[in-house]
Amino acid sequence: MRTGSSMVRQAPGWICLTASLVLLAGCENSHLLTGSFVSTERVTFENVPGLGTGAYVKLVLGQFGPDVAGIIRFCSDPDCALSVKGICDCRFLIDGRYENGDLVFGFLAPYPCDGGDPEELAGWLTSRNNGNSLEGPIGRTYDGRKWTFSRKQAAGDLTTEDKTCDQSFTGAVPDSGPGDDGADLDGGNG
Amino acid sequence: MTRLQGAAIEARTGLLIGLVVFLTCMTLSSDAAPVPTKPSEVVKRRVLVLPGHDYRLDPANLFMDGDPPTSGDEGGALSDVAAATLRKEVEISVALRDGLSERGDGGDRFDGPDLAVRGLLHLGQERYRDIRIPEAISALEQGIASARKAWLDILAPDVLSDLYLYQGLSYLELNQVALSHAAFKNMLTASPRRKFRKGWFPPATEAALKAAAEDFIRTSPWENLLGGVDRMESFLKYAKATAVVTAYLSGGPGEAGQVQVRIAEMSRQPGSHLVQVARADTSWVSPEAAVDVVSRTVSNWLSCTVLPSREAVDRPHARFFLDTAGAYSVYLKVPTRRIFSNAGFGIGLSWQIKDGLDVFGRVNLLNAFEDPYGDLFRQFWTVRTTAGVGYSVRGYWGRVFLHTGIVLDYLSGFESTTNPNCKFWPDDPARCPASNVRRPRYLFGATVALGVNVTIFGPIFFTFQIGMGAFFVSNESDTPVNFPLSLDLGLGYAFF
Repeated sequence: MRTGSSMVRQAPGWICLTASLVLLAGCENSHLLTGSFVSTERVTFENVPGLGTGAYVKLVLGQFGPDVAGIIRFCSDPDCALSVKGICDCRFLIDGRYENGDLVFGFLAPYPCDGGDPEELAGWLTSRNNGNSLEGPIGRTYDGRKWTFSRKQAAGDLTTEDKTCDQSFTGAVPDSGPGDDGADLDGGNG
Repeated sequence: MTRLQGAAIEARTGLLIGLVVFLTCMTLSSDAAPVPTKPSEVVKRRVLVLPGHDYRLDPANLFMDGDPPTSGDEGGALSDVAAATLRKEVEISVALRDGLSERGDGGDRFDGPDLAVRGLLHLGQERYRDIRIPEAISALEQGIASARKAWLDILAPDVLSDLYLYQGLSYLELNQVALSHAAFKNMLTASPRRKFRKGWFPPATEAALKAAAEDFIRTSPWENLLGGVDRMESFLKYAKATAVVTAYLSGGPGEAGQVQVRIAEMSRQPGSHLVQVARADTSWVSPEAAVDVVSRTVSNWLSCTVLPSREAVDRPHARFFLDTAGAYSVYLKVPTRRIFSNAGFGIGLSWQIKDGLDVFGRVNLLNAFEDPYGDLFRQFWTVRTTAGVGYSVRGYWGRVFLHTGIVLDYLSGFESTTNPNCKFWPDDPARCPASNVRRPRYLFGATVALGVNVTIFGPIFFTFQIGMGAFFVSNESDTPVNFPLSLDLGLGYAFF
């Protein structure tokens, strides 16, 4: 049975439908997440090769209604100016979807970068502050720690360079191998 | 979407609205042509006045000593009175016999037929005197037919009277008494006051003429103007008149006689026929009283009949409808996941060929707006051209129409995809294969629209129409964009 509050919640939808028929465009913000987001701290990916000690994660997103395309970049600094060594600098999002305030996407693990069979990882982030921050788990499972990503760029500020991802290997780790922990390259099993 | 793109879209939208406002203002500020008005001169109704006759015959006085008088028909005074009464009304134009026989309006002149008939009369008389009676009858009958066809029974009754006289005399020579009798009666109908010199004809002929006169008084149908309604209607058309007035005197020997006035006019009903609308039958008292009867009857009719100034003027209907309108359209079938809007303006012209049928043409320029999911790469223009025939109901309030025809859409820069990678990296073939993008350019099909034009003032009208179409042909095989639904709302100008 439809409650009063649900009808109130649906009212804007009806208004939107009517207005969209009469006026020229829809009401919903179908580009809410478009822009870039950077994690507020190092994100640690448990048992993920190359990311054992964590990395700052930058998401460059393009939202088109329920569809989301974009890239995920792995950095060693909060401004995401430097890449994490020993892995791919970025990966493309796979099957990004945005529904009911939740962004769900997949991506390939950044190691191995060229060839091989990288593991598929995923993220489930919830939109906060009217799309200015994202919060949720990212990694192998959805039941891990929740990370926070705050907006760095608005939709209009994205440049072609921001959206470029060559998935190139960032080079060998000087001392201890990829990432900050060479053991991770064996799969994180010690 | 960059800030620059957003600004460009806002600028295009502003331009679009500006154009619609400009066109609307141009329509409103254009010189309003005056609604057709009546010319300043007085429009007149033409009324025919037939020559009056005095049918009060006395067969005993048909033959007289000495030469018979050439005139003396008192009925002529009655028609003069009728004409004079009619002339007092400024919206009446009187048509008289003399005026008709001198027509200068390009119609048939009477010199030709009159001369031919006189020739046939002369020929008939010659054959009669040569005792070549059958040939005489043939010429005379031909002359009678020509005379009736040329309305000489009104315009030159003496000629017709002579034709009938010699026809009757010829039949009498052949001992065809009945035909002779009928011919003599027709002679008296044409010239009822005709007299003959006593002793001019043989006694048998005089007896036949006298018998015809006696029969004429008893049996002639006075109401039967010109031998029938159809012939009278034809003569009215010929005279370009819509009503006829006739006045005559009737009565037999020993009777005071009657003054009779008849007025008939063409009915205003569809398939108009001549109907009698006024009449007077008054006993003869004196010439003054007869004149008064005629004058009164005509005046009474004038007070009631439809004169041009009392006639409801049928305003002409508009023939051309030109409109400029704001236009809105959506395609009900699209390759995008959500319907997107198109808005712009249009200009349409409709020519009302005849009542209920028109041909039309319309051009709309529409700008597409971004769909909610961004499946459209960018905004684009649509040029929509429609043409066809329409069925309409018109009134002074405007018209309702149903237009059917063909539609051609040209889409300038339509590109759509549902692949988000193509939207985020539109120029990267590795991320966006070309096959993922639809690019229809030309669409051709049929359309139907229902609309209304409502007169606001003078020739300015409000227009609204809603239309639906279907495309059958496209530059892409499966017509990815189809079933356009469109609304047009604006102002127009009607040309009369």
